Amino acid sequence: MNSAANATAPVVAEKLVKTFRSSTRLGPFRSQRTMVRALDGVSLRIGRGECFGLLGPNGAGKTTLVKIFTTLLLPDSGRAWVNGHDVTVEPEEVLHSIGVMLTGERTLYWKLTGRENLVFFGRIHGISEGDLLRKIEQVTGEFRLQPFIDRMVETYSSGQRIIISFCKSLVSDAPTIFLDEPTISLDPNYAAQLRDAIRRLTKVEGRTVILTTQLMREADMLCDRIALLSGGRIAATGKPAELKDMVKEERVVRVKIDAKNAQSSSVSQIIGLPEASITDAGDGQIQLEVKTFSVEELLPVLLDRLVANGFRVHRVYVSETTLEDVFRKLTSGVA
Amino acid sequence: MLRYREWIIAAMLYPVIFASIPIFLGTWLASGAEGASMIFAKNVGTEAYSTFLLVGANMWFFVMTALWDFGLKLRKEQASGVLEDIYIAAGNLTWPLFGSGLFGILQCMAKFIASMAIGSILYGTLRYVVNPNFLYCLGMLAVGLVGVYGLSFMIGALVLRVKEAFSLLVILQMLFGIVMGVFYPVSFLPYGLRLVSYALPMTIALNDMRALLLSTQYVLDVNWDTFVILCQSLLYVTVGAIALRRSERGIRRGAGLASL
Amino acid sequence: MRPSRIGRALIIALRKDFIVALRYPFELVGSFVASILMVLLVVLAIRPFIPSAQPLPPDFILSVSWGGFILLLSSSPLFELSISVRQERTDGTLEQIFLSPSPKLPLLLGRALRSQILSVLYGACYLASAAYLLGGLQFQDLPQGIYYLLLGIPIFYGLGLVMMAITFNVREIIPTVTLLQIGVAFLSGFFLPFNIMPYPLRVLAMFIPTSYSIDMFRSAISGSQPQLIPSSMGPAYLLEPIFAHVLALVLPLLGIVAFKATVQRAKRRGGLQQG
Repeated sequence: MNSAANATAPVVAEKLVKTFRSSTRLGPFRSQRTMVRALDGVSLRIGRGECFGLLGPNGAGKTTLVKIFTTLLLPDSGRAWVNGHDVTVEPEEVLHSIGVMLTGERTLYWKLTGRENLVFFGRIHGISEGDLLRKIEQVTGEFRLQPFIDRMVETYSSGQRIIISFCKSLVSDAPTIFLDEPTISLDPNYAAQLRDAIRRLTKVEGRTVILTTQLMREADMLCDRIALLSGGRIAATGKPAELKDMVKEERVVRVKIDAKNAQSSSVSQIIGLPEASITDAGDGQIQLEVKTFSVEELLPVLLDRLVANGFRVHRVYVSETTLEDVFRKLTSGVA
Repeated sequence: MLRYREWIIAAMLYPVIFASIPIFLGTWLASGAEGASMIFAKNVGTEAYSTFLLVGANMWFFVMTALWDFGLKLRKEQASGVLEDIYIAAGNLTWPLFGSGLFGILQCMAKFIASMAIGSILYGTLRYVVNPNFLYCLGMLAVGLVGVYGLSFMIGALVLRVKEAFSLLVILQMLFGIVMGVFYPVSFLPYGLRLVSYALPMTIALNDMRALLLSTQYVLDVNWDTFVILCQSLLYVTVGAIALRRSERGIRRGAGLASL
Repeated sequence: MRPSRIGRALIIALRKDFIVALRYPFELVGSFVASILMVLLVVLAIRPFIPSAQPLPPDFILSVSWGGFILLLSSSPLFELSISVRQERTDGTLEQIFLSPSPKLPLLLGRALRSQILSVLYGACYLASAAYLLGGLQFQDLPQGIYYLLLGIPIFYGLGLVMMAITFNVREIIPTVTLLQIGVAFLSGFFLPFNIMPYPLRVLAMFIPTSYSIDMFRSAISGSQPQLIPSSMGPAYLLEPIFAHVLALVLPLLGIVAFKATVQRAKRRGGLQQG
C-alpha cells in the first residue's frame, strides 16, 4: 500500500506483528519465559463512514490491535495509519483525530463526578470551553444522564460508568471512534440507545467507528464489515452476509399448512421429500420440517408443490446462519 | 510472600535507617560516640544506645506494618472488590485475618533477626545481640505482636467504615511511635501519657526486650510483665475480632463490603 | 511543544487534582496533625542524648527544624510522583491520559504539584511546631537559603522522574520508593550536616544530585561554609554552587528523557496499564 492511499482511508494496518513476553510459574522459585504472539501479520483497511467490527475469541488480539491504532502500544513490526497519520511517527496527530472508549469500568476518576470527568477529558483533548459544555449538555440529554451525572463516579453502577466512558469518546467530535466492547454490562435500554448512537455516528454523521464486541448479534446489527480475528490473524473479513455465506451450515425450513384431512404419507408423497419430518401442529395444521444446505433451491419448489396440491400455507420459518455459527466454525480449535 | 522481595528488603533495612537518624543526631549532640554512650547511660540506664534504638525501630516498623497490612490492605481489597470474594469464600473476614496475623508474626520474628544482625554489625554492637537472652527477646516479641495484631484488627474495623484511611494510619503510626517509647524509655513521658502507653501491648514488650538484651529495667519483673502482655494480647485480639465482626455486619446492613 | 500547551495541561491537571484533594478533607487536616507529631517524635528521640538542664546548640536546632521542613517539601517529587503514576496505572486512567493529544508529563505532574503546594503548608506547620518546641527558629541568610531551596526544586523533580522510571515496573512500589526517598533524605544531609557524617557516607552523598543544593541551603541558613566537598578536592564555596546550578539544568532534562524512555518501553512491552 502506498502513502497516498493511506492518507485517505481512516484506518489502515499493514502486516502488524506484536508479541508479548510473560512468565509461567513452575514452582515457588522457578518460572519460565513465554512469548505470546498477539498479532501475527494483520493487515486491513477501513473505509470512511464504516462501522467496522473486530470479532474474535478471548486472546485473539482485538484489544491489542485497537491499542496499536490508538498509539497505546507500539507494534514489533508492520505499520498502521489512522486518518492518514502513522501511529508510531505522528501519535499526537492520531490522538487529535480519534475518540476512544476502552473496555472496563476503571477508566474514570472515581472521586470526580461524571460531568467533571467529561470536562477534564474534554479539556485535555483540546476542546474549547463553549464546545465542551454544549457537547456535554447534548450527551446528557441524549442518554438521560441527569439523575447521576453530578454524582461521584464511585457511586455509579457498572452500566452508568460505561455510559459515561462512551460519552467521553464522543465529546471530542473526532472523525474516527474506537469502541472496545461498549455495551458490556449495559441494560437492554442503554444498550439499544448506544447502538442507535453508533448508527447515527456512521450513517448520519459519516464518522468511522471501529467496534470490538463479543456479542455476535450486535455485530450483525451494526457492522458494515467485520474482521474475525483468531490466534492473532485475520481468519475472515467481509460483510456479515458474506461471512455467513462462507459457512455452509445446514438450515432448517419449517412450513405450517392446513391439514385438509390429508395423511402424513400422502403429504410426504406430494412434496417428494422423504426426509421431511411431518408432525401434527394442532388446530387442524400440519408442520413440515426439512433440513437443507440450500434454502434458495428447496423453498420455492416446496411451496409450489404445496400450493399446486391445494394446501394453504400458514407460516414459513427459515433458520438463519448466524455470526455465532461463523465465529464457532472459523475459530474452533484455536487456543 | 516470596513474590514481594521489595517488602522483605525494606523490612530488613527500614529499622536500621529509622534508628540511624537519632543515632547520628545523638552522636552529634553529644560530640561523639563516647559522649553519647555516657549521656545515654545516665539518662536511660544503658550505654548501648544503638541497640536500644534498633530494637525500638524494629518494633515500630512491625506495628506500622501491622497497621498498614490490615488497614490499607482492607481498603485496597474493599476498593478492588476482592474483599467481597474473601467474605464469600470464608464466610467472614475474621478467620482469614487471623491466619494472616499468625503468618505475620512469624515473618516479623525472621525480619527482626535479620535487621538486628545488619544494624549490630554496622554499629559494632553484636555482643549485645549474640547472647542467649536474644531467644527470650524473640519470644517476648512474638507475645507482644499478638496484641499488636489484635490492635490492628480494631483499626481495620475502623478503616472499613472510614473512607480516608491513609491519613488516619499516618497519624496512628506517629502516635504509636511517640507513646510506645520507640526512641526513648516510656518514663520520659508525662504520667497520664505513661498510663496510655502501658495499656498498649507493644510498650511493655518493647521495654522488656530491651531489658533482656541490655539489662535495663523491667516494668515490674519479667514474669509479671509477660503475664500482663499475655492478658493484654488476649483482650486486644478478642476486642479486635468483635469490632471487625460488628463492622462487617454494619457495612452489610448498609452499602455492602464493596462500598467505598 | 509550545509552553502555552504545557502550561494549559498543567493547569487542567492541577485543577482536577485539587478538586479530588478537597474530597478528602480528613487527609488535608490529618497531614497537618502528622507534621506536628513528626516534630514531637524527633524532639523526644534526641531527649536521651541531652545532658540535663543544657540548652540545645543552635546549629543542631537549625538542622532538626529545617531538615524536617525539607523532608516534607521533598516528599512530593521523591515519593508522591512515583506513587501517583502507579496509582493512575492501577486505576486505568493512565491510558486515558495517554489517549489525549495534550502533553502527558504535565498531566501526570498535577498530583505531585498539588501535594507540593500543600506540603509547603505542612512544612510551615512543622517549622512553627519545631520553633515552639526547640526554642526558636534559627536562620542567617534566609533569602539566599530560599534561593537554593528553589534551585533544588527542579533537581528534586528530575530525580523524582528518574525514580519513577526506575520503579515503573517494580511490583511493590511503596517499599521501594520509600527506601529510595529515605536514602536520599539521609544521604543528602536533610538532618545531618556533612561534616559530622562518616567519611564513606559523605563520599556517597557527593553522588546524590540533591546534596549540593541542600548543602548550599544549609550553608546560607547557618552562615557557615559548604561542607559536602572535602577541602582536599577543591574550594567547596566555588564548586558546590556551580554543581547545584548545573544539576538544576541537567537533572530535569535527564528526568524527562527517563520518563519518555520508560513510556516507550512500556508501549513496546505490554502497555501502560498495570498488569
